[in-house]
Amino acid sequence: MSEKVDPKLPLRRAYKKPEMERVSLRPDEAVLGHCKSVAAAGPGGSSTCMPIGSCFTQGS
Amino acid sequence: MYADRILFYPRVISGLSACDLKQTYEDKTASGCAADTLTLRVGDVAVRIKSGDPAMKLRVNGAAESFLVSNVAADVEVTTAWGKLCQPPNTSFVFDSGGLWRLSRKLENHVFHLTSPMYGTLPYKRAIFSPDFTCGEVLLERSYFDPRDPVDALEYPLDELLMMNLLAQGRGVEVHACGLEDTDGQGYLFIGHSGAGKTTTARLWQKAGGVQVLSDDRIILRSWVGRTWMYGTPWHGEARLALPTRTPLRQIFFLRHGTANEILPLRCGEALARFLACSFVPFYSRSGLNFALAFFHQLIDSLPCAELRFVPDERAVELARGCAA
Repeated sequence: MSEKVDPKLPLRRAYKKPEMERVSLRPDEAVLGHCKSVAAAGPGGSSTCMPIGSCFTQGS
Repeated sequence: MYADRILFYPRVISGLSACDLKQTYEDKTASGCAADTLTLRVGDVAVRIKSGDPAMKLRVNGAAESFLVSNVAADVEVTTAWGKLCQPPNTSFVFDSGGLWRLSRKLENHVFHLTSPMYGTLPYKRAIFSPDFTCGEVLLERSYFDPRDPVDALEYPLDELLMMNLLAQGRGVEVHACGLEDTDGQGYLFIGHSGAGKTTTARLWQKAGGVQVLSDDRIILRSWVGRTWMYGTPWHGEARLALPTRTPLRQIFFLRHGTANEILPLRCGEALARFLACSFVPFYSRSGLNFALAFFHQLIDSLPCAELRFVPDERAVELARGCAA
């Protein structure tokens, strides 16, 4: 038996299997737990991350 | 036990005389000058820092100097003083960043313990804030500082932690992004983790001319009466671009390096997840997370949002401009 399709009705979209997409979270960046930029933190105006010099964002 | 100098809310509130501060102290904001009181305004949130010790002078570092203001009412009042800090008990933490800071609670106050790999596990700074973060006290471990030098009481990461928590009270969200204002006054937001191309993008647009980069690494987003604004912050990236201004947001891109310049649509859920992954939100606060999710959802509903895969040349700028047109 063939089913008649009413041409006025919109066609049903083909089923597409749901997919899981993983979005990465970088905890060290997200929680502000590590060194950010030059002269950013620490006693005496130095960085908390390195005794001498600076510590920059690793790219941006 | 905590150090003997620590004061807890509501005693902190009464000790600070927040209302008096607004009328009594004249800000001294000349670049590089030490002062008794400073007011830092980021994202239209003004934080007044007052020295609680006549011998202690205050300063701010680097790009934060551009964010100092005078004669504005403070949203947040913070005093700072020397203290003798002790090791906090290990079992008391609400959140551990795994790095520079840990959070505990005392009564309803938030207590941040800041440590440095340079100085071991004893905190060099402890900051206590009232439940709504509008009032606080910062204690500095005297033995770590040269008393002759002015101190930056809110230096990173405390300044950004404070702002993150203030924004999460319903004000807005800070995102890991480059934000810029094009020649027509429209704002573009380029979001991504470190290495996604935020600073590269900032430099490409600067080359195009007439563009103002609010920040190449951190942008604050706030909404008012149906419009979303981007604010520059002092927490810049490698290009050190940080402007204390704001601009209306027109277009959102999630950045990714590619082999060609192309713009790809994003589903709402995907955009939401990416926003959350590239934002600075208090993961220990249910209400803060709920607010951030609702904020991002509203943003995605109201503004064009797509992925921009790019190669670092001027065609990427033209493609982004064409998409927003």
